[in-house]
Amino acid sequence: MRTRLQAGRPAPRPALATGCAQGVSLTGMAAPPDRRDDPLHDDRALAAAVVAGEPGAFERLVREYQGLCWHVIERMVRHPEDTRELCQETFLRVHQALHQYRGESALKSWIAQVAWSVARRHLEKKRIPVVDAGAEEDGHPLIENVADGFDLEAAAADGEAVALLHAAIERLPPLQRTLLMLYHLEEMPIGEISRVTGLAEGTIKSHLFRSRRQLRALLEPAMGVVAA
Amino acid sequence: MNTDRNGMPPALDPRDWEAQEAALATPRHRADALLAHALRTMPVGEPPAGFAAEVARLAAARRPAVAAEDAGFERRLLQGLLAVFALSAAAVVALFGGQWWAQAAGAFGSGTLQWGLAGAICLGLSWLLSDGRRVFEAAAHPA
Repeated sequence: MRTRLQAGRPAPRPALATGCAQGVSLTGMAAPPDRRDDPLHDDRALAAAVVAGEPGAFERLVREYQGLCWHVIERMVRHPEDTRELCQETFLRVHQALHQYRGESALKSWIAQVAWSVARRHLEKKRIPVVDAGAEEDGHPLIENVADGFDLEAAAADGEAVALLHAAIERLPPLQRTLLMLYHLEEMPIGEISRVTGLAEGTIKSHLFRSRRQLRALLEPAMGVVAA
Repeated sequence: MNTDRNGMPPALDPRDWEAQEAALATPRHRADALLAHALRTMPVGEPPAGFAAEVARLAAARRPAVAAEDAGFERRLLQGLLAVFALSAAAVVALFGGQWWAQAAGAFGSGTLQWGLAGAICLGLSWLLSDGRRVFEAAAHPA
């Protein structure tokens, strides 16, 4: 396991989807995509190399996106052996269907979408709910589950509090913990998460909002803060 | 978390969303700072060393098998379509051939029609020996 330390999500990224960046001039005429202006050029080139059977191209693709695939599946299924197997299955599907990739969206989203659907189908087969419809909104079950192994008073120390929150994230339902990972760790914009998961943007925001509110509520006993 | 029967959470007020985003982006309370930090540093696993090479080997091993399966399916489909076409053509000629022959003989004369038929048979045979042979070979053997 590793922990990624980064500056964080807060600063919103500039939108990439401007007409010129997509190879469309201001007059509406299609312009030949310039490599410098085309963020998908490398994705298309890599996909074309794999489809053409160029030696080493597929391994390069797997190496490039294995982290993302692993994170999505691991967050969903939380089982190391299943994660490995499903991640393999994801890339074999990608290999088989890559000729259908049109280069209209980032390869990253396309592969994450395959990983998401492979993991989701696995959970459905095992009858594991993706969303926990029974949990309460005020976060008490989360507190009860997590508090077993933790001293909430001691969580006043920063390290303890962060460990408590990490344990609580692990106990969230698969959908919520995967959305948190995609948004905060992979730094995907909501629109891209929507394409990956097939969920409406409002639904994603709602899940993120409520999960974060639940997590923040865990700190209240130790810090006496008011829930946002 | 409250969700409806389809797992949909209740509607969210955009102002609540914006307020929470702002609190995590520029935390004023320690709880928000800790939560933002915990979200950015959540522990995640990584694939084992050599995973990419292993998957690439698996994909390479599967490729010929999948290609052969596809070719087999296409061959059977082509054979089926050729058989359906031949049967349909034979049925149409059996049903309407006599009628067409009588009408054409009335219009062009029976001599002209016999010479025309001989020409058509020659053209058909030469097609069978060139393009037709390729079609039948494709139906009999995978690409």
